[in-house]
Amino acid sequence: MSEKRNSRSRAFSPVISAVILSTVVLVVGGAVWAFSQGAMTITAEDYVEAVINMTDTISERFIVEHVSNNSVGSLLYVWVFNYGDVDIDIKVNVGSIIYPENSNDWIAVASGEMVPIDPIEVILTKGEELNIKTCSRRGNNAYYRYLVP
Amino acid sequence: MPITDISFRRGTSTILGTLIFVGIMFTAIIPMMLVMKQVDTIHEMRKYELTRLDEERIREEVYVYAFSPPETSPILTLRVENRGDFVVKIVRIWINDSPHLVEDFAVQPMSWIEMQLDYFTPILDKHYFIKVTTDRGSLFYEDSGSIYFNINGEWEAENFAIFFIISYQGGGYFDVEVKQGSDAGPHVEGSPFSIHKSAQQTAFDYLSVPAAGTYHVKITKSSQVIYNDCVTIYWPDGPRSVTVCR
Repeated sequence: MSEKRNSRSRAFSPVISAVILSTVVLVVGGAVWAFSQGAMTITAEDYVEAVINMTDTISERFIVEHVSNNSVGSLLYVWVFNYGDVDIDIKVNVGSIIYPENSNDWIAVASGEMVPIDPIEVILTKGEELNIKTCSRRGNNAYYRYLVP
Repeated sequence: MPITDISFRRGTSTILGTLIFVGIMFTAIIPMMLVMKQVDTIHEMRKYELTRLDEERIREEVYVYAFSPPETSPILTLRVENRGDFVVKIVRIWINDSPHLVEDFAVQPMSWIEMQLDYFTPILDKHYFIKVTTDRGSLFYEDSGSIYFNINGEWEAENFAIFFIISYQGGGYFDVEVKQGSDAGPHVEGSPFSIHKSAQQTAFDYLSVPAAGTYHVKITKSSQVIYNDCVTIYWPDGPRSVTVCR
């Protein structure tokens, strides 16, 4: 009788343990699966975003197309042409003057557009050579050397 | 029995573990790698396109001439010559500080297009600087720098010139003679002179001439005449310069 019970319990416990072990493997495996899928999705999205940003950065193409000043030499006019495929935001530097002054303000120039920048207040003297730098939000620059007439 | 038990359990776990690993590989890692590869390909394609566009921009070769034929004076005529390998599309014409948008102004390689600037009214006794902008972001200035609208309401040229483009085979010195009117005329100031050309490249040079009119040009290389003909500057009926290509 005792031998019979023993053999029954021995037959029952391997099945239970196999079920428990399989359940544990499935639960842990499922958790790892879910985590890896989430992690990989986030990693892939971050990578794609970074590469697209980088592509936009290298796609920027713009020039300072024209510069002039008013007759009394107090205002500087700058025209910027974006001949690239992506829209850009820019700031204009003339010597120590940055326009727009506020660090959060940028001038938007759509792809294929030329934009006249609002007159920049400066003090110009005849014959003076100005280095005009336009920098984009993505970190690209375009330069123009202007001789005040 | 215990031995069989352990191996059975290990087998089940191994199979389940392997399935999960394979599942992770196929549903997470491989799609991620494919997406990354695809975006890398797009990036590389864009880089290639941009390199090509930059190269095209560098190779744009445009000459701009402004003149005013007597029959349409004082309306300026703008001639844009494309001596490059690519079609050039002009998007804007600048007259001093005023931009003028233009549409459908595409110049085929090795050809030119003329356009009357009838929307522009000149002011007496004023200098005008003209330049054009291409859709590739290049700026090309009017050939002679500026033109002057005098107090009599006539256009005046700053200077007249003959340009030389020598792509003749081989390198060395090319002797150039420019005479007024004909071969028997007097030498123009600065003539004769030599243009040096390296074997593989095209040589460029120019000579300022005193006025519009006909000039006789003779180019020799090692006593061999390679160009011997008259050229005419038709100003104000044409540009203030003429080009001799050989």
